[in-house]
Formats: sequence, C-alpha cells, structure tokens
Amino acid sequence: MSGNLSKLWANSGLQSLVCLMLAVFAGLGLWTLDTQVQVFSFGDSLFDARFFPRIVLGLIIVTAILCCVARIKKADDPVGPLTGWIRVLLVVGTLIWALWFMPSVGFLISSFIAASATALVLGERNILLYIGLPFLVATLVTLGAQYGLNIPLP
Amino acid sequence: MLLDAFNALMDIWVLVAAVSGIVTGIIIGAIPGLGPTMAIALLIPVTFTMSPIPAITLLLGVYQGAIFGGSISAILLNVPGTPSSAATAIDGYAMARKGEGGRALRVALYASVAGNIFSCLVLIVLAEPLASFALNFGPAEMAALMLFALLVIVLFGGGVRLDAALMVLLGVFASIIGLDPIEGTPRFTFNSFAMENGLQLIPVLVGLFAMSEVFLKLFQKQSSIKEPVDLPKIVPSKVRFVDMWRMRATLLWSSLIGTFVGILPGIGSTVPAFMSYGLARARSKQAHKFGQGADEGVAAPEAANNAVTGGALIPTLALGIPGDAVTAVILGAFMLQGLAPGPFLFRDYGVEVYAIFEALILSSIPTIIFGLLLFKVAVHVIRIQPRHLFPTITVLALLGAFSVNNSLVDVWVMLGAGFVGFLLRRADFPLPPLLIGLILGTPLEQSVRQAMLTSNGSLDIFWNSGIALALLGLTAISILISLCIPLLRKQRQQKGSSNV
Repeated sequence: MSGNLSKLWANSGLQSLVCLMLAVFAGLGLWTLDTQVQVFSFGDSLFDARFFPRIVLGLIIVTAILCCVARIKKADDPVGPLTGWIRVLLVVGTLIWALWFMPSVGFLISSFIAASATALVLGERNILLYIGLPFLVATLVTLGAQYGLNIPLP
Repeated sequence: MLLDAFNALMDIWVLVAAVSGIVTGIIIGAIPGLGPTMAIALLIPVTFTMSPIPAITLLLGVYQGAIFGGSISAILLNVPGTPSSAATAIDGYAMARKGEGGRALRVALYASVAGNIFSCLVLIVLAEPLASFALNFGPAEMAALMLFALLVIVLFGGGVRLDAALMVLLGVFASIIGLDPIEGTPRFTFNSFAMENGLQLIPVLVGLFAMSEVFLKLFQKQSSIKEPVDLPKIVPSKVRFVDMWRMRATLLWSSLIGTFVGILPGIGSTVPAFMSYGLARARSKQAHKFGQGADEGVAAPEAANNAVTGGALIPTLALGIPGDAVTAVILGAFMLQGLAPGPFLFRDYGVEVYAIFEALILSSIPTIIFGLLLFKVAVHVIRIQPRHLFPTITVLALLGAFSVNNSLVDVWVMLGAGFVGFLLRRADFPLPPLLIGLILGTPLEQSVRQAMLTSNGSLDIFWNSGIALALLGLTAISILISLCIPLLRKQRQQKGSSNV
C-alpha cells in the first residue's frame, strides 16, 4: 500500500493534479449540494433536482480517483516550465483586467490591450506589430461588429 | 420538398456565403493548429444577421474548405493542418518530395469532393427516415439513446477511456449548471441571476477551442517555428478524369468508411482516414508503392475524412446528437438560427434543411475552383507567425463570446472555459467528449427523470420498450466489443511472438 502510494507520488504530474482537482471540486459540489440546489417539493421524490447532479458528481469522484490510480503504472507528463505558466497567467491576468474594465473603457480599448499583451508575451518586439496590428484588428472588429452586425458592444 | 429547397437556394447570398466559407476554410485549414472547429466557432457571430440557409451554408463551407486546407500543409510540408490529414501526409509528402506536390494536391481535392458528394447523398437518404423514426421515441428511448451515444464516445473515441469518461462526466456536469429542466430550480448558480441560463454552448466552445489554443501557444512559445519554411516547388501537372475513375473502388470504399464511421458519435475523421488508407493498401495490387507516393494513398484518406462531414451530420440533425466536435459547433449554429436539431427539425424546417443539404453538394463546384486557385496562395499562410495570428484570435474570441447574448457574463464564461480547456489539453485530456457531454447532458437528464417520474421510479419502463431494450442491448454489445478487442490483440501478439 505504502509502496503504491510512493509510486503514485513519484509518477504524479499535471494529469494527476487535474484529476485530483476535479475529484476535490466534485466532492465540494456533493458537500454543498443541499445548499446549492434547494428543492421545495410537497411529496418525497427521489428524482428531484438533486438526483442527477448527485449521480454525476459521484461518478466524477470515482472516475477521477481511478484516473489517478491508473497513473501508478506510468509516469505523468511534467507540469512544465514555470516561465510557460507565467506567460499564460500574464495574459489571463490582462484579460481579466480588460474584461473588468470593459464596461467603462469599451470593447475597442479592452480588446486592443488584450491582443497587444498576447502579441508582446508571444515575443513580438516590433512596436508596429504589437501596437499597430492589434489596434487595427480591434478597430476593424469593433466597427464591423457595431455597424455591420449591429452588435451593441460596450 | 427537394424542388422547393432548390428554389430557396436561388439567392445570390447563398453563393456568396458558400464561396466565402470555402475560401476562409481553405486558408484557415492550411494553418497548422487552426482546425475547422475553431474557424467555425469564431465565425458564428458573422452569421447572426444572416438568414438560416446562407448562414449554415457559410459555416459548412468553412468545414469543407478547412478539411481540404488541412491537406495542403500535410502534402507540401508534412505538417498536417488538421489531425485527419496526417494519413494524407504519408503519401502526399512523398509525392511532393518527388516534385509531384501539385498532382498530390489535385488528387486530394478531387477525392475530397467525391467523398463529400457521396456522404451528402447518404445524408439526404438517411437523415429524414431516421428523424421520422425518432418521432416514436419517448423519454425511456431517448435516455437509452443518449446513454448509448455517450458510451460510444468513451469506448471508441480513441485515447484513454477513463480520461474520455471523465471528460464526458465533466461536460454533463457543466450542463447541470443553471435552471433544472423539469422543476426550474437554480443549481450551482451561486445566487447569480445571470448564471440561471446556464453555460451557453457558443462561449464555452469558443473558450475550449479558440482561447485554449492561444494559451497553449503562449505556453509553448519557445517551440514556435522560427526558421523560414521551405516549400517544395509545385510543378504544373494534370489529373485527368480517367485517373480518378481508375480509383473508383478506393474512393467508394473510403467514402463508405468515412460516412458510416462519421455517423458514430465522437470518433471524428482521423480514424476513418487511417482505416481507409489501410484498406486501400490492403486491396491494392501495388501495395509496395504506398508510403512512396501512391495516388491512392492520398485519395483514400481524403475521400474518407471528407465523407465524415455528411455522416456526422446524420445523427446531429436527425437526433440532436453531434458526431464530433465540429458538428457540435454546427449544432450550436443551427440552434442560434432557430433550427433546433432533432426529430422535429425535418417536420418543421424541411425546406431549409434540404436547401442546406443541396448547398453542401453544390458547393463542391466552388470547392474545386477555389481549391485549384488557392492552394498556391494558401501555402504562404503557413508562414504566418503565431505572434501575429493569435492576438487576432483573442479579439475574435472576445467578440464571439459577447455577441451570443450581448452579455459580458458569457465573455467571463469563455475565459474560464479557455483556461480549463488549456489545463485539460496540457494534461492530455480529450476535449470533444467534454463538449458532447455538455450538449447531451440536459436532454439525458430530462429524459431519464421524465422516464423515472412517469414510471414511479420503476425501471420496467426501459424493459417494456422494444426500442429502449434494443439500444441498451447495443450499449452492452459495445462494452463487450471494447473489452474483447484488446484481449484479441494480446492473443494475436502472443501468437505472433510464439511463431517467431
């Protein structure tokens, strides 16, 4: 048992981490099911609004644990270089910022900042291509959406 | 009906939509990593103001074009633009190295068109009878059908079955968020009014297939292609009708494989492409030429992976069960146009649906014309650097998610789905089962609960219905087959090693 556990620990990587996260989230979902899904039924019914989520969350926990156990036999992919994660998180952070301020600064500015950050983080160092090109694309898309497709962008 | 549908096609906008879709599809398909799924997901907002026939024709044109576009980089650079063109690269690239790249591309184009026409004819013949048959389905039959579809994805979708099962379950759970389909109770909405609509399909798939690709590219920045791509010279060449006629049996078999494997949910176009390549080599009298640049080695996988288009649309339109990730996106586009796929589609919107089928067949003509005109242009698209392309995808993803309901909540959902999709792809989990689980989750729950409520919790409702019983039997047989195949393979390997 302890041998299997140490083998699992040694082989664990991103896949095991994701499986574990899914199992934990599904566990939390099951734990909070009664507060998240309030049922107001007059009779006792097994097949109420909690019936299906209960089965699905239970199955997710079982399958995620089985996925983790299956990793005992073979090594997982490594989590990957920290710089890669930082690059992704930088753009995710910029996108969150852009979305947060989109109602006040508008779609054009927000999408331009998001696109410009993506270009910069991807390694573009030519100012024309990390400022000019994203601005041109954002402007064309915004104008096309507002006047061509009648989409009321913020 | 067919004549009415043909009349509905007599609109300049249908032609414009078909041509724009095919041209866009060929160009996007030629770029490795940008498959038809992402292309269609990003183009959906463009179709909002269009009427259903040109809108769906445009998206199906992108699908057709992108599958052929994928073979351009596969043949000329040995870099498949889409996973299904990996089989085409085997002989296509060998031909390109011998200076026959132009011939390989022409064979691929004509075979693609042949596969597409065949599968569309099967689609026209099979879809409506299947939909009419499905009108007899009650909740028990629908539940058994959904269960069968989800199990087929897990068992035969390729890859690790446990991973696929986990993804299907995750997709089904995502479909639970929002209002309960029977009682209207909010579930996992965290008291947010906006979340009561649930996770909308289009923002989720834009996130899963477009935004996650941006994050993946950011993560792999160091490994992006920096050196200039060497393209083999394309010598002018001709492929005559007689050359294609000689391959008629290969084209027919490959189209059959593509169409019928396409009908099975979740398998996609890569498996039939390799299956038909293997069959063409086994049937050929010149099997030794395969791998060294045989025409049939290019024609077989191309006919098969294009035939998947029509095949995958059969369960999508007749039953509302998508055959693969691309048809799941197309299903979303149908729903946005007010044409809800399922048994009632043909009864309520017969003219529109048949017009779309006919447009799919007729768009073979512009596919040939623009395919021949564009492959020399499309190869240059491969040179576009990710740092120039992916910022544009980010802007389009933001617009695509917002435009569905003009809601910023959907953009947040898209961003979340993008990050989750990135994590899952990095961890080698397949995304199509998740998407199909998301689509089938609500109807599965609805039919299971309706069946159990009407039978007062008795499972007899499943045993008393012949159709449900047959579907459950099919499910059991599928499980048995999937268990037996590895055992048989092991036995064969053991026999082989003992003979040696």
